[in-house]
Amino acid sequence: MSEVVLETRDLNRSFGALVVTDKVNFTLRAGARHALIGPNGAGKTTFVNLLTGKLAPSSGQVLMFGEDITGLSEYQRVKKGMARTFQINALFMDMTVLENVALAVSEHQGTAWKLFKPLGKMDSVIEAAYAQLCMLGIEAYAARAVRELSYGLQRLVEIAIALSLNPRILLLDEPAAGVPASESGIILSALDRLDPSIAIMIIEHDMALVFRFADEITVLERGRVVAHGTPQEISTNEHVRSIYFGERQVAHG
Amino acid sequence: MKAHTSVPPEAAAELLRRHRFRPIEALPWIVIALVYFLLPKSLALGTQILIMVMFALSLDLLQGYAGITSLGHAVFFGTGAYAAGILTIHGVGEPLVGLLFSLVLCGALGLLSGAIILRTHGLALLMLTLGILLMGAEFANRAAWLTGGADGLQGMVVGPIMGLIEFDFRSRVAYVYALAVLLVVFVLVRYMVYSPYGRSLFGMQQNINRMSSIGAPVRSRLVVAYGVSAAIAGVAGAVNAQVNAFVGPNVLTLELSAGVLTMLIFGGVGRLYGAFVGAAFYMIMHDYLARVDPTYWYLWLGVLLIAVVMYSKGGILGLADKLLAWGARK
Repeated sequence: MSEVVLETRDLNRSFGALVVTDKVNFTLRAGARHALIGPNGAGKTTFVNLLTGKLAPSSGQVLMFGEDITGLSEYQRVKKGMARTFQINALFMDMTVLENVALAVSEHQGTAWKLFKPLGKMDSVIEAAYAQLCMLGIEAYAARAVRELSYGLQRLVEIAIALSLNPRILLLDEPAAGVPASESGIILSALDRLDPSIAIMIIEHDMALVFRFADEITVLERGRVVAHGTPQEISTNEHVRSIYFGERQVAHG
Repeated sequence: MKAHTSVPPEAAAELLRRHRFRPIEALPWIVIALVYFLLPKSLALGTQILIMVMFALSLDLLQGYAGITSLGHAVFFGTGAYAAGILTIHGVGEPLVGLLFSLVLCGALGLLSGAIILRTHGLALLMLTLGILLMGAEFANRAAWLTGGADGLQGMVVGPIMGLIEFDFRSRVAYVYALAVLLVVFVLVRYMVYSPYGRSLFGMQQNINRMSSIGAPVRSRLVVAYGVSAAIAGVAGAVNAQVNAFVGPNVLTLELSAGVLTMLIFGGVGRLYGAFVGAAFYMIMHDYLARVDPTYWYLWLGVLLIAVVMYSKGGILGLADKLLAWGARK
C-alpha cells in the first residue's frame, strides 16, 4: 500500500457538551480518492477544519507525512502541502479570476511579503496562475471579476485556487454543492483530470459523484466513524443503509 | 512592456496595468503646486490639509486595503506629535530627526499594540482601538511634566530643516515641507498597495479565511500593516507639531479619529486619492462653515456624511467615477 500522507489518531472535538468529532482514526494515502460521507450534522466540515488547523482538537493528533502537526496553524500546514476548498465559496469577489489564483500562487512561490514590486510585474506568478486556469479550462474568464461568474464557474475558481498551491493533499468540501445540474458536468470533468498523485479527500452528498470518484469511503455519524471500506463494501453495509442511504437508494446504486 | 510568454495580455490586463502611473494622477499634485503660487494667503490652511491627507492616507491603508476599522488612529498621530514636540524641547530641533523619531516610535507602538489587539476583529477590535486611544489621551493629560497636560506642550523650538531652511511666518516653508513629506509617504504607500503584500492585504479584506487557507500568516500580515500605518500617522502628527510649533491635547481625541475617518469616507475608501479629496473637502468645508455659520458646522457635516454614505458608497471619487461612466455611455 502507498505511503500514508495524512492521519488522525483518536481525534476529538467538542463544543461544550456536544461532541462533534469522536475518537476519529483516519488515514489518507498518497494518490487516494477518499470520500467522507454522512448525514447532515455528522461533523464532516468540522473534521476538515480539524485537519486544516482552522479548529484545534480537544484531544488527539493530526499527522502529516508521519509528522505530528497538531500544533501547527493553518498556514503552516498549507506550506507543507495541504490545500482545501470550501463548501460555500470563499473567494475574493472583487478581484479578477486571474488575480484570485495569482494571490495563491504568490503565497506558494513565497513572494507575498514583497513590498515594492507590483504583483503585475511578477511574471512567474502570473504565468503559473494562467496555466492553472488553462488546466481547468477557464482561461477565457481570466479577466472577469469573480462576482460576475456563474456559481458553477466560481466553484471551479475555488478548485483552481487550491490546485495552484501545488498540494500533495487536497480536501474538497462538497465541490459540486449548489451547482445547477446544467453545470455539474464541468466540475466532474475537472475532478477527473486532477493529478493522480495528489491524495484527495472529498466530502460529498451526491452519491452518484461519490461512487464515480472514490475508491475508498469513510462514513461519519454524530462525529464517529461508523463504517470504512470500498464503495462496494459501503453500499452493502447494513448499518450504513439504515442510517444514511435508505434501502431504496442503495437498491439501484 | 515585457511580453509574457504564455499569458495573453488581455487576460491579465488589469494586473499588468493597475500599478502604472495614469496621467490623471498628476492632477492633485498640480493643484497642490498651484495653491502655493496662486493662494499665498491660504498656505496655513493648505499645510493643515496636506497633513490631514497624510493622516487619512495612513488610515486608508488600514481601512481601505487591510479592512481594519479603527476609531483610535489619533493615538498614533498624537504620539507622533508629542514625540516630535518633546524632542525639540530637549534640544533636538532639527525637523527631519523629529520625523524619524516619531516614525520609529509610532511604528513600534503600532506593531506592539497591533500584535495584541489584532487577535480580535469586528466590534471587539473597534473598541480596543478606541480603548488604546483613551488610555493615550489620559496619559498625556496626567503626565503634565512631559506633555504640559491640558495646557499643551509649551516652549517648542523648531530648528531649520537640515540646519539650512527656517520655517517662516507665512507658512511657505511649512507648506513645501509638508508637501515633500507627503510625496515620499504617498510614493511608498502607492508601491505598497499594488505589491503582492498589498494585494494580500486586500485579499484579507475580501476573505480572511481564504487567505489563511492559501498559506498566508494573516495575523502577522495585519500587524505589519498596522505598524506601517501607525508610523505614517506618527509622521503626519510630527509634521503637524513642527509647523505649528505647538502640541495640544486635541491631537489625542476621539474627535480627531472620527474626523479623519469621515474625511476618508467623504473622499472614497481604498482609492489612495480619496484621502486627498476627502481631507481637502472636509477641511475647506470646516473652514468655510466655521466662519459663515459656526453654530451649525456639525449639522451640515452630519447632513453631508449621511448623503455621501447613503448615495455614494465610493465617496466623492466614487461619484466622479459614476458620472464619468455615465458620460461615456451617453
